[in-house]
Amino acid sequence: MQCLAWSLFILLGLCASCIRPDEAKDTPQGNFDALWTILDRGYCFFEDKHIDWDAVYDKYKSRISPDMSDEGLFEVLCDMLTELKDGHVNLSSNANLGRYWAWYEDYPVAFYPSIQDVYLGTDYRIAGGLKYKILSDNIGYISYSSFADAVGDSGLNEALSYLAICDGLILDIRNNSGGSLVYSSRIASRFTDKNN
Amino acid sequence: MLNLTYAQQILPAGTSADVINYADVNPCRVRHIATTLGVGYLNEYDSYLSPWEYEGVEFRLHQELYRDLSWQGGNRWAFQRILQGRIGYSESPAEDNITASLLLSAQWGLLHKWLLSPKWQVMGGATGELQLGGLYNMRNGNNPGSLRLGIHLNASGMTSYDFSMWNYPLRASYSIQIPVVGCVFAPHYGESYYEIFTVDGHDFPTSMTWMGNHPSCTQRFSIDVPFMKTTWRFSYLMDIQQSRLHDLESHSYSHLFMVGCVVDLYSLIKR
Repeated sequence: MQCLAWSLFILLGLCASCIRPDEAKDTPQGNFDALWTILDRGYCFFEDKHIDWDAVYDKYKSRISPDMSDEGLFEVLCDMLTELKDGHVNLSSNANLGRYWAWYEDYPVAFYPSIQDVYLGTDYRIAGGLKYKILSDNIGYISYSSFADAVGDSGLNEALSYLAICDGLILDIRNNSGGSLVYSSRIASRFTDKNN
Repeated sequence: MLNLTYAQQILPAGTSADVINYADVNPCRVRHIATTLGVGYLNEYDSYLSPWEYEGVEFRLHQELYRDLSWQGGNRWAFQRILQGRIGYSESPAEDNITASLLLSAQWGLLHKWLLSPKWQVMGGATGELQLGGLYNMRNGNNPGSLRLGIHLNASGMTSYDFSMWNYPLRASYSIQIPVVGCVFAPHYGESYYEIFTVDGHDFPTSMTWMGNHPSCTQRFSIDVPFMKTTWRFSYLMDIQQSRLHDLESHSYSHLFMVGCVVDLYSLIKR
């Protein structure tokens, strides 16, 4: 009886089914399928962007051939990713970075650093990633050009206390390519009393 | 009723017993402690962080304790405790990214003992386990970490067999733990830790586990070798931890070679 119990015990241990990612073949078709599948399972904006991802597969699969070069494959994969029209989706290789920057490049420039230099000057104060000063008409100005630059609560306290005497406040987050949610929410929390 | 004076003398296995007058005492209960340190292969996969398996190396400290309990004559039940700490370092298939991991685990349980022969002992029962740790992916931006937090009820077993080879006493042992049911921290796909831990009213995502969505097991094969008044343990440890929860998959496969020592502490009954 005890041997039977032990056999069952060991069997259960050995029969634990494997949970592993799908193995992709290291061929042009295998790499193409792997990338398409990753997006198919993980990308969350297909419906919002009205993208038929299955149709995208059919469209680009025809450009895949077994004897194509790595560079040619990379180009096809990057072209497929541009269908997403997503500036946050990149494909990197040692030779290049596949990207979609049309969301930025196809629009008129809205930020000119040389103009900012005129009103920000060189005598601004710096608290972490924040550059701030009081403009000539008593308007407080904070420039935060990257959400990747660290901003602490103590730095925010200092900057906002310094600007508290102003008649208004400009928080300039133009030309900001993104970064950490921690810093963006830390700044936003100074302008609301709700946490949602 | 016996007057128990606990651990009047403590004898590491293999130590001379001259320090005790055995006319005055009866050996009663054994506290068996094996502490090993190991290194080996690690394969980690967590679809919350990456769609790829990462491979690397793991270091682990493992301590296993068995203590005879006095119930039913003192020879039928044993308390089991397993403590583990592990750190891992693994690389992506393209070797362009690194994941670091840290996991602490503690188990306490109760095992029934069967003495199948004077040399062969079998134990089976259950343990409760606490797990705490996490993975950190060095390249991910907003969601670089994956927390491991859970409690499990495990089926647990152990067997040991004493034998000799060329008149040299050895002990082979095997132990296994299989999580049967549990409850773990389990975010949904795309649910950020920022939301979970900072947004008011956001539920703390947990999931019940069973052998279907958390098929895991830990097995150890060991040989105990007495040498220079110390009993040395050489082990192979296979730790398979897997889960499929809330559309997220993870696994951690560890294969380790471990070395350490075994100490048997005897509790004695005064006559």
